[in-house]
Amino acid sequence: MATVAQQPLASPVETQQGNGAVGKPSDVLAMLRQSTLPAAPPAGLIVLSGHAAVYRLGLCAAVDRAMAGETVLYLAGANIFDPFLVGRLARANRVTPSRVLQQIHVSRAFTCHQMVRLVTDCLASAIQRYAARWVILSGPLETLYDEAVPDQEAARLFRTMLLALQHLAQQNIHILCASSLPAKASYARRGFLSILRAHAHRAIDVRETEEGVRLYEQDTADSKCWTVPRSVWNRL
Amino acid sequence: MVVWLLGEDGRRLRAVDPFVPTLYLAAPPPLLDYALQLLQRGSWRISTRRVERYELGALQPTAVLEIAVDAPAQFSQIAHRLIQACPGAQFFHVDISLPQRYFYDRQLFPLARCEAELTSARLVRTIHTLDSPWDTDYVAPPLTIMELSPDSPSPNPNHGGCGALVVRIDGEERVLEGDSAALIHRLDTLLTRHNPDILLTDWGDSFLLPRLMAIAERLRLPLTLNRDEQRPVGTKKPHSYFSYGRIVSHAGARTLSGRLHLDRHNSFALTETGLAGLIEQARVAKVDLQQMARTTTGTGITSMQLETACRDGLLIPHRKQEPESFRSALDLLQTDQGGLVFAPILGYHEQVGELDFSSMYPSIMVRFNISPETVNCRCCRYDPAARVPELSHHTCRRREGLVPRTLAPLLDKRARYKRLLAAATNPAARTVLDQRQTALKWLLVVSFGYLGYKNARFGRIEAHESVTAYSRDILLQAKETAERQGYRLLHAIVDSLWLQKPGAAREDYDSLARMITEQTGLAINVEGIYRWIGFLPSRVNPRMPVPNQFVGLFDHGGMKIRGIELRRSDAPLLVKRAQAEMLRCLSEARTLAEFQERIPAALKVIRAYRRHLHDGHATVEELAIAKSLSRDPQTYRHQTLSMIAAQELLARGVLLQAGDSIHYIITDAEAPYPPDRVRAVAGLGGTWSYDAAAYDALLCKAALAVLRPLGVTPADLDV
Ligand SMILES: [Zn+2]
Repeated sequence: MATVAQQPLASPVETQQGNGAVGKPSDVLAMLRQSTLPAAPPAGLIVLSGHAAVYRLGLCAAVDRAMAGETVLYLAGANIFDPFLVGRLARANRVTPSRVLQQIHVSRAFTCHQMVRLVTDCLASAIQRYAARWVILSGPLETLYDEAVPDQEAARLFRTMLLALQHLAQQNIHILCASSLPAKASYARRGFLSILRAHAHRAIDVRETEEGVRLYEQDTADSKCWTVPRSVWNRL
Repeated sequence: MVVWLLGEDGRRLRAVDPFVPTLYLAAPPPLLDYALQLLQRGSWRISTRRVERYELGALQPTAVLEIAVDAPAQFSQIAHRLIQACPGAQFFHVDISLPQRYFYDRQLFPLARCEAELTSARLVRTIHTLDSPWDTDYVAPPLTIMELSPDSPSPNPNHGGCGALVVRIDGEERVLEGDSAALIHRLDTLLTRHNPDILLTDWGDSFLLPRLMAIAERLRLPLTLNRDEQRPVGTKKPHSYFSYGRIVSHAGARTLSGRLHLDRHNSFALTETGLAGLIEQARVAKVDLQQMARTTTGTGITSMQLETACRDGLLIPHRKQEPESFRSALDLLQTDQGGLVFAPILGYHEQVGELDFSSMYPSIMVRFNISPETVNCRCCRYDPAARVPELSHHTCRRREGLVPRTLAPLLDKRARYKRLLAAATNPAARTVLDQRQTALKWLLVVSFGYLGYKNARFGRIEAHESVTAYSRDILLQAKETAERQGYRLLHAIVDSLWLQKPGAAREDYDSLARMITEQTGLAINVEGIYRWIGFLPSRVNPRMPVPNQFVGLFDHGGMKIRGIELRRSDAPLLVKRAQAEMLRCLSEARTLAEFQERIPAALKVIRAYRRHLHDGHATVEELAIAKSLSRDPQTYRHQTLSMIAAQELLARGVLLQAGDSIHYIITDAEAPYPPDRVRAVAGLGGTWSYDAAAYDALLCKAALAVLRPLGVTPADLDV
């Protein structure tokens, strides 16, 4: 696996440690491993949020773990699961796509009721059945922004889901939530994402900049930042 | 339920039908007791009993509490209260609109010709229809229509630039000016005098009616928009929602009682299928006209499915909660492939035939009995004839499913309309028949998405996968049959094939279509024979083919165009006009050799447009670019051109939400100060200029999209 080129960036808030830029598609996974998804424990809840690039990053993370031989459970909430991206990433890393695809187990939720049911009732048994340690939730909040569901109901479902996620995170399960900012949400629901972030062990902000896709993590002690250059991102 | 009847003597009657809707609740005994206590404490007029009912596909009945509501006005309040108080219970029949339930229950439908017996107090004693929603020769009742439009040069009066009110009735047009008492008084007089059945408006939901009602209220003047004076005007706020990964905005609604309000700018059905089409959809779907006009076509097909379920006495679950089970991404990739596509052979071809399966997905559902409860049934597990191609699923061979039963009459009715259309000669009759068959086509088009699994209450992923698996198998069979007959496949996409064979004429394609129909059991028709057709490459990579992107000239002289600027809603009119004129010029060519000869003339067209642009003659109408906002502009700070224009409108006090369409002109795309880059069209006044270079680039791109496969380069477009 290619290593990440260490390159200090200009911004004063960034520390040398952790900062990096990425050169080719296969490096993205290595960068993710260094940034958001350390292969070794501690497990817990990680939230990637911000620009819509989070969905792709979430899938990259799933591929990375699958290539390392782990079984990954992937919950697609925003109806975003791109098997072709999985294939491309696998090939870029000289791995047979079908091997990676077999390691990722997917369930798609089209409504918030399905999403919450998936997290509360189906996830624990799936974790056992597949002996999985990694769970990726792609767009867990997106279905909750549906205006056909009243605010009160959405808030109740959100609390139920959050409790279930926290419980799982305590069971030594790695949970990665990839959630984009709502294109449209009532005032009451705009807070869901910040509450989720506040309950996470790590919260990483994703932005699109002139240079590419930027991941930014503000820790208690310091802050870290990684950039996937536009040229690499566009080839993913 | 209030029912409005139009008597044979021309009288409009308001009658009340004592209709008692029911809802159902399943819960463990303690929760059920709690619900009963709650119901007893409320001051509701209800009666309850314990019954057993089946859910779709269930082998055992479910024990449920039936709650009959004597006062339908209390129905939603009761349902809401129970759902809130008993989140652990399962609810059925709670969220179907009551007018729909009434139609199902009484076997009526909107604008049905019916016979009713009324008491002296105008209570309905009996009511039944004299025609069927499946009749094709019905005549719509003689409804009087009053039209209201804003006299506005702006593409959307909500964004500014509004003028007087135009009223049309009985072929007469009146222009009412101002926003004073005189305006309200004159409109109210016209409404009272003509007493129209339909108010047909432009921008009535978002602009006209709210504005008129506000003026009337401010001046404390009567404005009798409703015929039923006991009821207020129905109001729904604007909102937006996600649909198929896209954000769609809804302009809100102003609905009337005893009279119909239809807004041409807030109705997919009305725009796509006209009034005859809207009435057709409302009749077969049993959704009232004002609702059908404003909702998605999916609501129509869902209503048809709900009616079938109600007729069968099935429980209709409140929400679909069951998620799909986990499976490997490899499995998902193999089973959920969607329709089959053969990439086009790039460039222009001569003498090509197009064959289309008519309503392929719904026909597959009917022919192979695909329905949530028939897929992977217990009874046909070992029947090899029940197997779905490629997959491990099977469908039932013994019991006809709910979905096929719902769709079969729809397919049959559309086929009858098409036969009538082919035989009709009267232009007015042809228009009506075409609007009706188009209305049914839309219901069939969405049936897959809705009866599949995404939004459907009874949806099931395996049913969806089975349909696409059959479609791939059938397209493959069609391709092989054609190839055995000496045809070459140029392109195929889900349910259409483009084929070529030297010397083949219309009759040959017809006989091929018959052969494929016989073999697959699915009707396929010859869409047409092209003199020439060009499959156009990707704009990014000229060697990459793009499915469903082509221009073609039929042998009858008509053109079929897909995927280029002319078909895109966001291309400026100038670009569309230039492309259309260029294609008109090329369409004089009957062969590819003639086509090559016409290229210089086509280039001339483009050059003339470029000069027109650079000489500063282009108008606002020609330059306006329409874009749908992908996000709420209040919260989104990214400086795309459409967002800059949205900010300009916001600053002027216009209300905008994600999904709204806005119109703007590029003034200086490269300007360092973002507000200088574009101007919103609405209320565009004073001095302004356009960015000729930016529009020129769009123009050249549109020309090259069609001409590049023929070797034309950007330099050839230079003046
Ligand atoms: Zn069976």
